[in-house]
Amino acid sequence: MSRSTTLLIWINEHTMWVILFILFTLNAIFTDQFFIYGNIINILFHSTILAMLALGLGLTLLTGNFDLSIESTMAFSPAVAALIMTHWVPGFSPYLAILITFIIGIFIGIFNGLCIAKLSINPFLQTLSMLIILRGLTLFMIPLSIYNLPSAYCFLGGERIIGNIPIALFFTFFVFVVMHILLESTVFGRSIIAIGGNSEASFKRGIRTARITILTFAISGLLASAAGLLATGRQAAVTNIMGQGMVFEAFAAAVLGGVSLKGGSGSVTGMIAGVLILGIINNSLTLLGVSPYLIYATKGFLIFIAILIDRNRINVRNMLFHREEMKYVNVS
Amino acid sequence: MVKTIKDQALLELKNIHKLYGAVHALDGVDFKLQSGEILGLVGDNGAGKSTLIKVISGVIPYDIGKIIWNGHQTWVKDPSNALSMGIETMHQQLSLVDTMTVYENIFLGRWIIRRFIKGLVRFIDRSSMKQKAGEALDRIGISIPLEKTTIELSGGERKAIAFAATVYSKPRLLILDEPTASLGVNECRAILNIMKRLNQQGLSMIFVSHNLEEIFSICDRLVIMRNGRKVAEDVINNFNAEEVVQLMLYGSKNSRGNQKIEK
Repeated sequence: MSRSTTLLIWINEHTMWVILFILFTLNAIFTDQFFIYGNIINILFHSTILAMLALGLGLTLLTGNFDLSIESTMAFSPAVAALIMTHWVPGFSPYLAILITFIIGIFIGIFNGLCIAKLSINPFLQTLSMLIILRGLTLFMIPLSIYNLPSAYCFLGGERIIGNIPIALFFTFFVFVVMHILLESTVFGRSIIAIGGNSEASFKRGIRTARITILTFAISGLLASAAGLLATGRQAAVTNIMGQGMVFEAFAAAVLGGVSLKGGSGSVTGMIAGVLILGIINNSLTLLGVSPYLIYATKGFLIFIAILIDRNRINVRNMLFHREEMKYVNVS
Repeated sequence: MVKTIKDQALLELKNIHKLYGAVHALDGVDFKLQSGEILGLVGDNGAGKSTLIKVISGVIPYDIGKIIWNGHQTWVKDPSNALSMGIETMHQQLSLVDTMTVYENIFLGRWIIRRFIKGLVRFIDRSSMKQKAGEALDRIGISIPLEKTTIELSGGERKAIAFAATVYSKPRLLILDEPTASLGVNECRAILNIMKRLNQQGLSMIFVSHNLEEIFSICDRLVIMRNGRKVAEDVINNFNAEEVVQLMLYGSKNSRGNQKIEK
């Protein structure tokens, strides 16, 4: 295969990294205050929460489902933990509270997964109803916000260490590496791709599709609650509107990152690239003084572009392979 | 070449019923499959062949009846159960994941793994899979780039991959549901030759096809279905093509003059 074709195929597979690189370079050159240490760290810091959501949502997308409830789980899990620590059981260990946050997220995910896999409830409807139910419960339980949270609970989301780098960055990076290995190199991860690619074929070849779907939603719930934990730590409070609207951004990040809406195609590295693209656009447009509403519209436009790229990815790939084969046909 | 067909029935179905609401998809089907034989299964559309295949391979459960495997009564509760019993099925709709590569598809559901940390951590072993996939394809005489995703392959190549996946684990019983459908002449011949070769090595098969020429060329015995029931089961030499068609359409060997098919 010729070098130029190999390169073009790589670009087609990893369009999001190319876009990310171009965006970063353009901003580094043209946008004031962009290419400084503090700003870069800031972009990464603000991306951590979205990264958690995008990873969880991306995983469910890969199985051919999706999880709309993540932004509500993100608020509900820490809300319950905060209520336990400050009202219901004063003096409750913050470390146990962190554990409870995660467990709540996992249980919500398992509930979603069971309804979808065993009761065959449409994933959109199932997670939409959970989105609304959980948000309603959060708004009810917490009139506005709960602050005065133990610093140990806020540690992961709020503290910084060497080089003023937030711990949340290390945590997110760790999660990203684990998820990447899970998806690329474990039986569980490959089963996720298989189920999304062709769930009937997977079933016929003995893959336990129901179990894997449930586990995927459990992980999505877990990551959503982790996002909530990070957000709580950052603002040192639980607010009842935490995460509202973020499911669309997470969706945009996942699709921008190459996760196919049909399922069965996508990567963790792609999802992170999608998150970073959104983060850079947010940051650079803000630095340039663009109205937040226009920034919001821009992100919506990006989803549109991402879907177009996604639709054409296979066609471009085939075209490139075909062009390569045609070269050899003409030689003889 | 002489091949041994043992007397013992490898698979026996007794009085299998399957209802979809009021529709009697399988209405008391029973037959025997001898170990080492190729059993043909024919019937018109809607006769229940695919339903029967799905029941044997665990894709759908049956409502009433018994399945006896190797002399023991068993219940094939899901596809992984069937696979662990040694029943491999090549369905009409190929079990391929088009977003995955050739070698991952050959090992779909049973990817080769390597264990680390005293067996606690299991990662898939891609290099091993690629090598074995290459060997599997060599055995059926086909060469396909292993890294391609199956969506890029032709119909014949896709069937070859699905076929390689089913025979790789050296099953006890291989069920093929219309394996030659939409294939060219050479490809059909290739599949039939491989089937004959595998059968001579002792692999029992159930072969579903609409092509009676193929059925007569390789099957030892034949089961004919109509409207969810078995209407005939006998050694292939006791049939001729016309009788088979009559049985498929009308359920009896003698054609009924007043039931002509409108063309």
